[in-house]
Order: sequence, then C-alpha cells, then structure tokens
Amino acid sequence: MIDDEEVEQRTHRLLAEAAHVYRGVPQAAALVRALLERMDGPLRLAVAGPARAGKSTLVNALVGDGLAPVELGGERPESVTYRDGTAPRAWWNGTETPVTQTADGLRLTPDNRHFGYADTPRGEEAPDGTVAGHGSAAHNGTGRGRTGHGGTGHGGTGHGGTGHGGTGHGGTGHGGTGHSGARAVVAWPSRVLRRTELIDTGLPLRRALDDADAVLYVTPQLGEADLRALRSATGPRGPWATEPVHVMVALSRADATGGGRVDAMLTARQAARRTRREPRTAALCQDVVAVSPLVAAAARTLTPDEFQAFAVLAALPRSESEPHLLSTDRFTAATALPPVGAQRRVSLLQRYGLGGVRLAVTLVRTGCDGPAVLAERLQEHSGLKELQTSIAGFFTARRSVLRARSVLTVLDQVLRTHRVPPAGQLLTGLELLAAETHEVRELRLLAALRSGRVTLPREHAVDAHRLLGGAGISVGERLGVPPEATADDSWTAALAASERWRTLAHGHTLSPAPRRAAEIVLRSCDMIANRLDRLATPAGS
Amino acid sequence: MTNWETGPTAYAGPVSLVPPLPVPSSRTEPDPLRGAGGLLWLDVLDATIRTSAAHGRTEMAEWLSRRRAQLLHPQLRVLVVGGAQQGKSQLINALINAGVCGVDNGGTAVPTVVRHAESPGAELVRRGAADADWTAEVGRQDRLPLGLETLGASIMESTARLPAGTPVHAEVSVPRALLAGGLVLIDTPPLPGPDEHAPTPVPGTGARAVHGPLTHGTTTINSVIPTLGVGGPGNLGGAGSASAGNAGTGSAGGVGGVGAGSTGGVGAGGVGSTGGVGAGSAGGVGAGNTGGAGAGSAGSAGGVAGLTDLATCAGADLVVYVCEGERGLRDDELVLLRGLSRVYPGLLVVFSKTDYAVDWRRNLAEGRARLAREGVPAATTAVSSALRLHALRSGDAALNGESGFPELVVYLQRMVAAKSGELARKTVGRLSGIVLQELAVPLRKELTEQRDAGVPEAVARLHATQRRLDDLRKCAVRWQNTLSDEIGDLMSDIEHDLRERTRAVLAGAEEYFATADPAKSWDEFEPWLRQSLQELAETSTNWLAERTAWTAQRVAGQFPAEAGEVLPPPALVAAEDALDDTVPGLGAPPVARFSPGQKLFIGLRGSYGGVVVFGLMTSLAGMSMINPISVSGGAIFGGKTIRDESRSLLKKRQADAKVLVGRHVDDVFARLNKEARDTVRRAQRALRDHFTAVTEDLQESIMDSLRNAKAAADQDAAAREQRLRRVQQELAALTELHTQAQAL
Repeated sequence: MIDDEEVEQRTHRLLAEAAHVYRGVPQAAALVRALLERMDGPLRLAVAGPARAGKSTLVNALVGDGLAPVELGGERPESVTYRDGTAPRAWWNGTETPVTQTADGLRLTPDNRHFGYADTPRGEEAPDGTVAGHGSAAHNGTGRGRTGHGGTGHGGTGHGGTGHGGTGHGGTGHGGTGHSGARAVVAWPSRVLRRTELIDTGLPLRRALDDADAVLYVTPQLGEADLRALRSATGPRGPWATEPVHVMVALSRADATGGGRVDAMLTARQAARRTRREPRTAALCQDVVAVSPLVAAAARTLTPDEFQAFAVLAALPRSESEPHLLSTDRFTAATALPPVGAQRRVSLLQRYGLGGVRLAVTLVRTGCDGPAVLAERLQEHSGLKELQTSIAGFFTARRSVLRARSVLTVLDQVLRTHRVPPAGQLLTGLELLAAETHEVRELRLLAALRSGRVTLPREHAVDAHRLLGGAGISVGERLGVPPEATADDSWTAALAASERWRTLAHGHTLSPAPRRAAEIVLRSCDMIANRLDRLATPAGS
Repeated sequence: MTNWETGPTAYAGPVSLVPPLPVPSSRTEPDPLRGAGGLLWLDVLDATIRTSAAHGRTEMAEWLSRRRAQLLHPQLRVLVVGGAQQGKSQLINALINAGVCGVDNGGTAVPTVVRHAESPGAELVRRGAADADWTAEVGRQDRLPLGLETLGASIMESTARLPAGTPVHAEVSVPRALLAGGLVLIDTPPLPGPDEHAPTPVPGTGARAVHGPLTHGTTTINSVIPTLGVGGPGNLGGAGSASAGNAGTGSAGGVGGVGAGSTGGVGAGGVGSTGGVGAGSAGGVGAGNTGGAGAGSAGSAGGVAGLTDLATCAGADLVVYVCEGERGLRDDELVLLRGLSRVYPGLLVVFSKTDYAVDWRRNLAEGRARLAREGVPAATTAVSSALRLHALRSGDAALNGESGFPELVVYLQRMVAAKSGELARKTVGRLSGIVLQELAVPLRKELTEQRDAGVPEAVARLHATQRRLDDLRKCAVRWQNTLSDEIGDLMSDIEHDLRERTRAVLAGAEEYFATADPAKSWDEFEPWLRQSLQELAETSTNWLAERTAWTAQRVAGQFPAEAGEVLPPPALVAAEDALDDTVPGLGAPPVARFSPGQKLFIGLRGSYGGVVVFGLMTSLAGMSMINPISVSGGAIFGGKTIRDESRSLLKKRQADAKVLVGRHVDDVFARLNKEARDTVRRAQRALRDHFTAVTEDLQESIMDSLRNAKAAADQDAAAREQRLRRVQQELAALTELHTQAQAL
C-alpha cells in the first residue's frame, strides 16, 4: 500500500515520463506540462450546481467575505476562480482589471485595456494575460505558466507571490477546453483560500470538473436531475474516475425547510443524514451536508450593529415580537417593531432571511451575549461548520490524492487520445497506481462509516476512523500517539493496530460488510507501517 | 360510465360503437329537447368525438370521452402540481385547515385526493393500470383503509406492502364547507425539476422501455396531442381557404412540429417513479420544439405530456401550479404552463410561501408579466400557507387576509360555480380546437403532398411507356440500316479476302514451278494445291461465320436494353455447309516427253555443226575433215544442243503447268466467291426475319403496357380528384366545427 506522498511522487514520475514521451507532440506536451503545474497548486474546489442554488453565497460563506458575485458591467462570468493573493486583484478573461468590493460582491471596472483586448483572439491575449498575471511575481519563474496552456487566458495569475514554493501555478485547465463565456480570476488575501482555491462555476458539473480537483455540488433539493448530473461526474472515464471521492453535495435550502421555523436547520440536517445514507446517493458522493448559505455568509460577516439589532429584538417580549416575525411583510412593515428602524430591518432580512432572523433572535434569547458568540452559533446552526469539517476532512487533507486523481484522469485521456508506442506502458503504470492507491478506498470507507452505511462495533469504530485518517492523515494522528512520541512508540502502536485489525479482518466475529471494512483498515495499518519504515530508513543510513 | 352521466346528453352506447359517418357532419343541430343554447358545448364536444372516431383516431375519441365524463361530473377536481418543496401539500392543508397531506417527510410520494364527506375517512386506492381513471369504481379489495391520525405513516406502510410501482392514490374525506360545494383537491408528487445539467435527452426507446408496462392499455394523451406545449396554436382559420379549394397552405405551418412530435419521443421529463402516477409516457417532444429553449424546454415539454396524462387520469378540471414566491417562473415552467393552458382553461399559478420570501411581490409581478408576454392565459395569486394556518389557529382574520387565501378560495368557488358553464365551455373550446387541429394535420399534409407530388405515378408510367414505344420505332430503323451496312461490308470484305488468299496460293504455285519439273513432281504438287485450296475455303467459311455472328451482335446491340436477349440462335447465322469437298483435284498437265531417240537425233543434229566447223578449221591445218578434234568438237556441240533442248522442254512444261494451275485456282475462286455471297445473303435474310419478329414482339408488348398505363392513369386521376374533394370537404367540416368550438 502506498501513501499520499508516494502517490504524489509516482504521479510526478508518470507525468515526467509522459512529457518525455510526448516531446514530439506539441499538443499533448502542452497538456502534460499543464498537468505538471497543476500538481503543485492548491486543491481546486469547484462549487457547482443549478442556477440560483446559492453557489455564490456559499462561496462567500466559505471565504468569510462578500466576494461573490463578481460582475463586470452587469455581466457575470461563467466561472470565477478565487485564489489566495497578497492583495485584491482580478482578471477578466486573462486581462487584469481593477476591482472594488461592494456590499453585493466584487465589481470589476472595465478600463480601456480590457476593451482593447476583448476582441483579440485568445491566443494573442495569453501573453499579455501572463505578463499581467505575474506582475508581482515575476521572480517565480512563471514562464512555465505561459507555455503550459497554449493561449488560454489568465495565465499564472500572480499566484506565486503567496509563498507556494514559487511554482508559478496558473489557471491551467481553463485553456484546453475552449469554451466561450467569460472567466474571471480573483486573487484575495484569505487564509481559507491558501490550501483550497474555490471555483464558483455555472458550468454543468462535467465541464466544471475539467478545471477542478473536487466539486461541491450545491442544490436546493437532490432531485432526479441532480442525480443525473452527479452521475456524469463519475463513471467510465479511466481507472481514476470510478469512485466519487471528489464529490460532495450541499443541500442549500436548510433555512427554509418546513417554512423556515427555528428548528428548520435541525430538520434539514436530519434530511441530509437520511439522504447521505441512501445507497444511490452514497454511490455518487462522499457526503451530503445541509447548509444555509445565506445565514452562513451573513454569520461570517456579522457586524456589531447587527448583533445590537438582534439583541434589541430579543429583548422585546415574545408576544410583541412574534407576530412581526411571522412573515417578511410584517417584519419589514414601517410600523412594526419600533425599536429597530425599518431600514435596518430590511437589511437584516436581506442578509439573513426570515429564518436567519428568527434563528438569531432565538439564539440571542437563549444566551448568546456577544457578536462573536452569536456568529459562532449561527455558523454552527447554518451547517457551515459541518460543511467546513467535511471539506477539510474529505478534500483539503487529501488534496494530494485528489490532485493526483484529477491529473491522472486527464493524463489517462491524453494517453488514450495520442497513441504512441510508449503510451501503453504509461497507461499500465497509471492503472497500477490507481490500483495501489489506497486512499481512495480509505475515503470511501470513511464516507460509509460517517453515513452509517457500514457499522463497526463501537469500540472499533473510533479506532478505524482514526487509523483511516479521519482525524488527520499524518502517521501520528492516525496512530493516536502524541507528537512527542518516539519512533519506537509509533512502531509499537502501529504493530498493535495491525494486530488488532488483522484479527478483525481475518476472524469470524464480523459480518461480511464490516469485515471488508476491517480489511481496508488493515491495509491502512500496513500503509502506516510502510511509512514508518521509510521514515526510519533515511535516519539509519 | 357512472350513473350520474346517463341523461339526455349521454350516448346510447359505447363510443366505439357510434357509427362513423362517411363525411362527418359538423353541423350540430340544436336539440329542441335541450334548453336553447344551454349545453351547446356538449354538442360541439360530441361532434368532435364523432369526428375523431370517424377519422380513425379512436385514442382521441377515447380521451375526449374521458374529458366529457369529467365535464359532466358535478365535482370540480383541482390538481395541485409543482416542483419539489414548493408547498403544494401545505397549500391544500392550509386551504382546508387539516393536516391531510404530509409535509414533513421528504415530499409527497402518493397522490392524495381530498374531498368532502360527512365523516372523515381515508383509504388507499389501487388502480388497475397506471392510466386508469381515478374516478372509476374500484373493487373493495383495492381499497385499503388508512389510519386518519397518522396518515403519512399509514400511507407509507400500505404502499410498502404493495408491489413496487403499483399505481395507487390516497383518497381522504374531510367534512369541510369549502369542499361541500363539490370541490376536490388533488395533491401530487413533485414534478421533476429542470434538467440543466444533462442536456442529452434519454433516448425515446429507453424511456419507452422503462414505462412500457404503464403505457400498456389505452393510448396516453401524449400521443393524442403531440402539439402540446410546443409551437403556437395553429390557426385553423386557414382551413377556410381549404374549403375554397386552396388547400390551406398557410395553416400547415401553424401546427408546426406535429408530425415529428408524435414520433420522436423524448422521455427526459417523465414523471418517472412517482408511485406510478400517470407516468404513461413522457415522450412526445419532437423536433417541433426547436423554437423553444433548447434541451431544458424539451425536458419540460416532456413534462407537459406527462403532466397532462396525469391530469387526465386524475380527472382534473382545473390545474393549480404552485411555485415558490422566492423565485420567479423559470423558462421550463413557462413552457409547461403554456402546454397546460392549452388544455386546461382556468389555469392558476400560485406563488407560495410569501411569508418567507423577501421579494415575492416583485417575483409575482414578473411572473405575471412573463405569462402575459408569452401569451399564457393563466391567473396568478400569491399565498402563504404558514400564515393561513397560523391565522386559523389563532383566529386572526387580519392574518388570514394577509395570507392571500381568501382570494384563492373565492377563485376556486367561482370555478366550482362555473364548472358546468363557462369553464366547461372554455374547456370544450380548447379541447376541440386541439383535436380538430390535430385531425386537420394529416388532411393538410395530404393536400400538400398531392400538390407537391407533381406527376402521379400512373401518369409517369404512361409517359415512360410512350417513350419506350418511340425508342423502339427509332431502333427499328437503326437496326435495319446497320444490317444492310454490315452485310454490304461483309460482301466486299469476303470477296477481297478470297481474292487475296487465292492470289497467295497462285504465287506459291508459281514459285514452286519456277524450279520444279511438273513431270517429275506433279504428284507431290497436286496434294499441296488441294490442301491449300481446302484450307482457304475453310478459313473463309469460318471467317464468314464469325463475321455473320458479329453482325448479328451489332444489330442486336441497336435494340434497347429492356428488350432483353434478342440475339438470333447460332444455327441461324452459321454457314449451311462446309466447302470441304468443293475443291476438285487437278489432273497432271500433258507432258512433252524427251525420249532417248529424240535425244540421239537432236544430239546428232547438233554435233553435225561442230564436226563441220572443227573439221574445216583443222583441215586448214592440213588435217582431215574427220579427225579427233572435230569429232570431239562435234560431241561438245551435240551435248550442248541436247541440254538446250531439254531445258526448253522443261520451260514449256512449267509454263503449261502454271497456266493449268492458274485456271484451276480461278475456277475455285469463282465458286467459293459465289458460295460465300450466297451464304451472306442467306444470313442477311435470316437475320432480317429474326429481328423483324423481335421488333414486332416488342412493339406488341409495349403497346399492351401503354394501354394498361393509360387506363391506370385515368383511373388514378379520377381517384385523386375524388380524394382531394373528400379531403377538402372534411377539412371544411373540421373548420366549421372548429369555428363553433372557438365561438363557445
């Protein structure tokens, strides 16, 4: 069993070999070079879903800032990539454009340059885009960014300045696809975006996945059409595409469940849990999380003024406030709730929704006595925390595997499209790597354990969760040994875990499904042992 | 048919037994027994049913009969439809103030019919088939009682016990004044959402396969009204010109996409697994939809068909479309609404959840504007079920007013009152309009086809036959010319050839006799000559035969291909007899012999001169006249003379032989030539006779088919004329009925 580091190394090796094989095929070579660059960047998480599902709001909630939607002269791009940067900057179709933040998302101001290049073919635009993109990061050797995606748009959009090892990471995938429709790139200083860059996209899921390593599918309800779309995200697209380890579903109308009562979130969470457990949903995604993007985004940016308003509302006797919380009309009526001005009430409603307002008032009433506490609780109730945990556990922590996965899926296509004799050998290597990559199975088992599709005995469930990397994927975290433990301690723990799970996997105490799960855990133990072995070897030699 | 339907207006028998009229009479005379003008819509509907039966569209007739039964029913059945989580069930609950429709368990799974009864009750009804009427009577064993208190759980439990996919619906009776007037509310499972992310439609065959068992039985409306929801309503007024003989060109486009619609089923928008509710077939989206909003509308147009099927099965008179007030109407919803409004007048779009939506007023106004812009005749209103329920709980009249429900109730009550009047009239107007347009489509198509068809097949055949006859005539002249030309050529060729060959033989003979002595080698020469002449005769005979066969082929080549194999039999062109024994032998020429006596005599005569000459010369030398020298000179002279003589004799013999051979060869040539000419003539005559016979045969057969073709063409023209007249009559009838329907 090989771990994430080895997967990464071998992926690099495969890509390097592919680059060598294809040195005479410019088209394929460009693609492979783009893939090589992609390996070095942060995880690229696409936020996709039907229109008006709350994608942009959710992006705001995740970033914790009012960035989305991005507009240029009333026009919205087909997809917006948000990545970390030292200073706010934006590119529209590869051309850097001044950006200002408004209450309703970012506004790009078209200048002459933008229009000057709007009509030029993309191929000519690219050099400029690259130059513009690396204005601040020219030292990063980003020439590769330009060559990597022949004539795309936002080449290497100034990402290098953020301390990512000077890799000159660029928006590579955007080039090869050749779609029309505007694409924007926003660099924004944000801790959230450092490891995960978000792509807010209106593209269909399958096309969104061309550019992304993982996808968060946002939809109000998981209907037939959504399931069809999700099915298109996996399927027979090479050995790496069969398991939906890169897909997560967010049900985005949590606050409106059951007419937006105070317990709406709870109901929604229960519904999400039910959905998560359904076999046909489970086969298509890693996790289903109920979330209210509106409440979450507002909670991330809760202002003291707003808290003050909520506090005033909560202080009113229930008999006085409750009739006015019945409907939006009543809440915003000029004569209602005199302690808070009508204007403020309208803005509260716009930002939180009626459900959010009700929730906030209830929370303040039940003891949230400060803006920070209220924001925290609101985030909790809106499902944002759960979503963040899920993203962190299933996506961010596993970014190397997910990145390898998406890169190798593309490489698989390249190898199959551009047939040269050595490609067959590479394909074999690729398939071998897919077969040996244990983390995909780990992730699926983690999802199954989380949703309750597979149940292990209680005392083993926690152990399995930890060993599978549910609590962190470093060896120490997996083994549950303290950071200061010696190598010997780790060895002992690893051997003990191996022994434990070997008994479970090969014994007859478990029914078939948990036994299969135990076998996977056992393989994780083997992987840990390998890792320890490798850690120990350089020290010894 | 149930008992309440039997009345003066009902059929005496089943629809299928209504005797079809040859030309459907569209004129519906008002029945004097009925109130004047009271139920004119029923007359129009009946006439439409009769017409569609007469046009062989029994599925339409059946569909209309079902709708007829519904229209005569005193109840007003209101179908509440909409996407998932739009508040349909809650709307019904709030309307009647009872929690009869489950709202909290992940969407309605089983459609629920809510009606009035003195005492509350609930049962699950299992229908025989997916497209069976919900209003039809079912046996006691198909009615499963449900617990009223825990309706949702009870429904779940009962459904779980039934085999998957069994078509069921729940019937709930509650004592409510609102429902007592005959209002029946039907809650339905959610419609499938828009399919933005999967633009590839499911192939029609797949959809059929899935819904196969459900479509079994009667044809679903989908196939009845394929135009539903796509394209503008065709203006049947165009058919007015059809009656005037102009065949209604313009209106053919009015019902665009019809043909394609009925064939190209796209099941993307079907009602799939909604407990077997009218999922009949979700196809019927055809190429006619190209003007729409692409794949999305294709899916929703499929939804229109499915939804209309559902509405028909449920016996709906009125459709209420529920849409969240939080968002405006989507494009695919508009397509759906347009399709619905074509069949269901009084369509109501309810924007729900106005308590929670912030911008519901703007969305409502936008929705109204869009409906008006798209020409969808639908009423709109906005309600809040939560407020209504709250108001009913707390007895707050003001809150009830805010909920928007009073308007909804008034609207529904108005519709109940208008059920047998205005609503029925409008419904019949639309139904008849759709059906009549649909009926007119094949007729128009026929008219167009006839006009566009150009020359009909029979006439084309006639023309072709005439052309063939002409061809044959030309061919007759042509082959005769060819034959005479060829024969002329052949004659001169054969003579020339014979002459060349005999000349060669002669040359051979002369060469031979230039050296050979005929006296000695005649026996050797004679067989050679005979052999040569024999070969010559044979060669020329063969050549003649070949040339004749070739000529026959050339002539046959002049005939058209359709005449088939016209070559004469080989015996006809072969030379009749070989010339093997026609070469006679040649006797040896008379030979001038040169006997020893003659030789002696001539030798002596020659030696005399020699003796004398040498004797004289030697005598000068003093020798005697006869001396050895003179004797030897005489001998030399004598020998010389003998040799000369014999040579001249040989020459003579050779000349004789040559003359003889020449004469013989000339004879043979003359005979051969004569025979060859005779043979050629014979062959010419045989060929001419043969080809004349062939030509006559051909001509006869072509004349035959010409007569047939003429008769067929005449017949065809008559039939077409008749058909055209009938189609025009039918169209005129349809137009008139349509006008009546539109006037309702």
